[in-house]
Order: sequence, then C-alpha cells, then structure tokens
Amino acid sequence: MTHILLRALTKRYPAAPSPAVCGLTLDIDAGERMALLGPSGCGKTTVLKLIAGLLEPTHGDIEFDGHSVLAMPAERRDAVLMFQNHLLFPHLSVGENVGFGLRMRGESGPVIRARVAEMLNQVQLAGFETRRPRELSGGQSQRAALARALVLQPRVLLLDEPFSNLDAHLRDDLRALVLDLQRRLGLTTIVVTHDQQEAVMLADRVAVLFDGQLQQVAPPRELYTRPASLGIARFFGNPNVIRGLKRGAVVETALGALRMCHPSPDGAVALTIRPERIRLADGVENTVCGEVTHSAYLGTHLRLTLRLGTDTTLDVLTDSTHDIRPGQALRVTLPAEALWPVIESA
Amino acid sequence: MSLSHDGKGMTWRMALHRVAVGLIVLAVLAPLLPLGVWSFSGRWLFPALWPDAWSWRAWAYVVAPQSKVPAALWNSFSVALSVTIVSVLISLPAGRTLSGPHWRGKSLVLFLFIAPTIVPVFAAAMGIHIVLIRFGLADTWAGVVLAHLIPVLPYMILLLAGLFANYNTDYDAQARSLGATSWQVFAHVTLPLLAPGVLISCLFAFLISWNQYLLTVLVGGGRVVTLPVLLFAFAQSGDLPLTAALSLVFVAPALVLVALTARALAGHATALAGMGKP
Repeated sequence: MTHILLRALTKRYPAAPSPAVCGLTLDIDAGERMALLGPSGCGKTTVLKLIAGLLEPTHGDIEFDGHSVLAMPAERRDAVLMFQNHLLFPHLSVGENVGFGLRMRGESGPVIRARVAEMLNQVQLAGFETRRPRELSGGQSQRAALARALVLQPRVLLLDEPFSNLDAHLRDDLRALVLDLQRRLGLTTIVVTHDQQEAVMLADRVAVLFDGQLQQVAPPRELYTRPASLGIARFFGNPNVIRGLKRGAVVETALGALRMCHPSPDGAVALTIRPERIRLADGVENTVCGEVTHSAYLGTHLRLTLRLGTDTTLDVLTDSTHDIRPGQALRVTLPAEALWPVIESA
Repeated sequence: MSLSHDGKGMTWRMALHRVAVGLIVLAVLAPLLPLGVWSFSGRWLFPALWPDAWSWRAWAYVVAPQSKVPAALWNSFSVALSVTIVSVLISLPAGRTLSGPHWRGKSLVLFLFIAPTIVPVFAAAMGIHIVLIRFGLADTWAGVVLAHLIPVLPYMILLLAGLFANYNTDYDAQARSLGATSWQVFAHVTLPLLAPGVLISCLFAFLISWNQYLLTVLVGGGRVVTLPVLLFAFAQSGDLPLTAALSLVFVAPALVLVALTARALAGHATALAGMGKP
C-alpha cells in the first residue's frame, strides 16, 4: 500500500496557452480509491500520466510514501496505467499479454504461466491464454487489460476511463470486479473519469478538476450535498438554483423569504437544492406555491416542473405514487437543511 | 485449404477475386515465358515461330564454375543483403525521429534525405565515384554497398517514417507502464508491431539494390561484377539464349521474395492461391 502525495503539480505543454494541470496538490492515502472527475480536456489524463512517469511535470513533485519519484523512470515506478482503450498488444496472445510485465521483470516461464492462469481466473477469463486479442469482445478485452495490470500487484493502479467504451451492464460487472480486486490486493487506486456516477461508485474520495485546477476533494456524498461551487453542483446533475440576498438566517428571493441553516456570508447568495430534496408541502416554513407545467412518470419517481411567478421554475423529483398532472397548483417545501449556498463562479 | 475456400462457400466475390489474382500473376509471369523458350533454344531463326533446335548450352554455362554467373549472383546477393541491413538500421531511428514532433532543421534533414530521388543518378554518380576514389573505396565491394545506399535510403526512410507516423505510441507507453525498459519496449512491442511494414520496406531496399546497374558499373569499376552488370555484357554480346537464361536467374529472387512476403503479410496462402494451389 502506497501513500501518494502530489505537491503543486503543474504541467504545461509547449505551445498551449494555459497549463494542462495547474498547481495540483492532492494527498491520497495508502489503499485509497481516488477518482479524478472532470469534463474532457480538464487535465485528468495528464495527471495520471504524470504519476505513471509517462510525462514529466513542469513544476511540482510527486511522492510515493514520502519519497519523490520524479527521478524514477516509468518502468521502475511500479505504478501501472490502464488506458481507456485496452491496448492489448495485438501480436501477443491473451496469456502473453497478461504475462508481459512479469516477463519484462525476468520471471521464469512456469511462474509466469501460473500467475497468469490465476489472474485470468480472477477476471473470469480462465482458459483464454491462447486466444488472440482480436478474438475478444470489448468486455473481455478490458478484463484482460485489467488482469495484465493487476498481475504485477503494483504499488499504484491508475485507471483512465476504464469502462467508458463498454455498455451499461458490462460496466457494472467490471466496476464490481475492480472494487473486489482492489480491496483484496489493497492497491492505492486512482481512476480518471468524466462520469460522475462512476466516480461515486468507485471512489472513497472524488477530486473534481476543471481546466487543470482542483476544485474540491471530498467523499462522494459530501460532493453531492455540499458542492463548493455552482459548477461542481451542476456537474453532479442539475440542481435548482435560487438567487437572493442573505441577511442573517433569511434569504430574500423571488420566491419569498427562505430560511437557511448552512453558514454563508451575508449579501448576494446562490442557493442550490436537489430536485429530490424538495418535498410536497408539509408545513409553512420555506413553502412556496406554483403551477405544474410538466409531469413525467419515471417508474420509481415522478419528475415535475413547477413554475413560480414569471421566470422561476423548480425541478421536483417525488414519489411516483402521487398522481400530479400539468396545470395543477402545487405547494412544496424547500427544507432549510437542503438549501446549500454555493460560489457562483466556476 | 482454408475454411473460406472450401467448395460450397464459393461466392461470386471469391471467384472474381481469384480471377483478378490470376490475371495479375499472368501479367507478371507472361513476359518471362519467351525468355524460358529462348534460354533452351539451340537454333531459332527469323520467320520460325518455334526454335529449330533445343539446347542446354545456356543453362550449362550459367551453372558452370568457370562462368562468372555464380560469383555475380553471390555479389548481387551479398551487396543487396548488406544494403538492406545497413539501410534498415539507419532508417529505423531516422524514420522514427522524422515522424515525431517538430524540431529545428527537421525539414532540411528530410530534404537532404530525399534529395537523391530528385537529383538524376547519373549526375550524382560521377561525384560519388570521385569521393569514393579519394577514400580508397572505388572498385571495392564496400564502395558498391555505400553507393547503393544512396538511392535506397530515401525510400526506406520515407516508408518507415510513414510507418511510425501511423503507429499508436500509446502501446509503447502501456509497455513502459507495465515495467518494460526503453530497449524492451522497442524489442518486444514497437518492432514486432511494425514488423510487417519493416519487412515490406526491406524488400524494397533489397530489390532497389538488386536492380542497380549504373552505380555498380561506375563505382565497382568492372571489379565488382553483379548480375545486372553481367546481364548487360551478355545482352551487348548478342548471345540471346544466354541473356534469356541470365534474365530468368536475375528475376527469380524478386519473384520469390514478393511471393514469400505477400504470404507472410496475408498470414495464409492467399499469395499462392493464384499459382495453381487449391
């Protein structure tokens, strides 16, 4: 298990107007699963390549267990990167692919064969040794690539959008497999993804990156309920945004005065509330009345759009047992603890 | 022989494919048929459609130890093989660098490398000859190899640069991340993945060298006798059966190499499918 520390890591590509990664400081515990989340082009993959040693940082340092690894070439870092595209070597069989790293280390043939067989078994590809990569399906290729990385029992496992080329049910299977193997082997794992659901499912903590800059690092639950900025809040599904002027515990908004309980400086404020946190009216506090303009039955839930006044709408997600039709007037409660103030920028 | 070729699956597409391959093979081999007939002819005078008499004379001379043919064959082969090996060793790093990111002077270097294809060989050959005389390499086997590298290298470098440009370097990064050193990456990943393309390029290099006449005559000065040099001498002497026999010897390695490479590239017997194999 390896503790990773990124210190003010910056990577500037020649001829690029702004750095791909800018002053990234991140502390990843030994055995932790950390997700780097952000839109494409935000520098996530660059961070992985820096940690793997495939790129050199412009500034900053990378430490494994308190020792800088910058002087260490990629092949000696023991940080295995698994690319988005499985990149199985087409001229080698599946068995030779999985055994590639062991062979490079100079392990003997019988040892390699035994470990490869065991690893293929773990990723449910037992007996696939002699197949060629082109004979594998997408999910099998990805599992083989995973086996090729894990058979080395690296200090650090780096996954770059590992499942984005797969269809939904395969993705779920593979996520479960990665979680299981990661726990058993106790690998410090960093997974890069643009899919917030994947980040939430795979990681202990999620680091959100926009434009090469770290926005927030937090456990998934906290990121969802307490985003630091509107940008982060929007990245995790679309929250309702209510702007107003805060004085004490009360915010004057277009919907009337709303009480909030989370600390925030007085003055202009943007409040977010998730559609599923809005309740059908059950009191008087923070209760507003509007007209239902859309109603969509989603099986488990009912998605409503509520119009209040002329230019304010609220998305509401409620129990699908309710029968609420467009045109109907509806009173809803915005619980004070569900109103979360965010910074508007970013 | 392979699964797709067994009787009942014979589709129009495959039939058409076979006819096309057959025609190509015919176009390549047909001009060689008169050479075959000539090489066995004893007496063949003008209006006759067929030789009056047959003879082994030409072939007997070709294989005779006192003839210059075996030595010329060996010279041609050893020169072409050396040129191929040296040119691939130069072109692999050159091609890789030239296909990579831009650096100052890259266009100039590229231009210098392909310059021999722009300048007429005859103009360059004189200068090459003078330089080689100065270095004591004129009239030597090594001098011929060096001279052959000049027309060979531009093609080799351009072919390999194209190969590297299309190569997905993520494979190299993946291999390094799995613990392979730079040399291991090259030997176990890059080279095997590029091997088919490198093989084709080597074939070109070999054949370009094999076909050189002018440079060999000038630089070899009649001391390094390769097949084309000998062939030219026989053709001028007017001994048609002997010229025909030698021409067949000259063209044989090219045909064999093309067939073998095509076979290796296709991974099965497609190359030979049109040559009478089922």
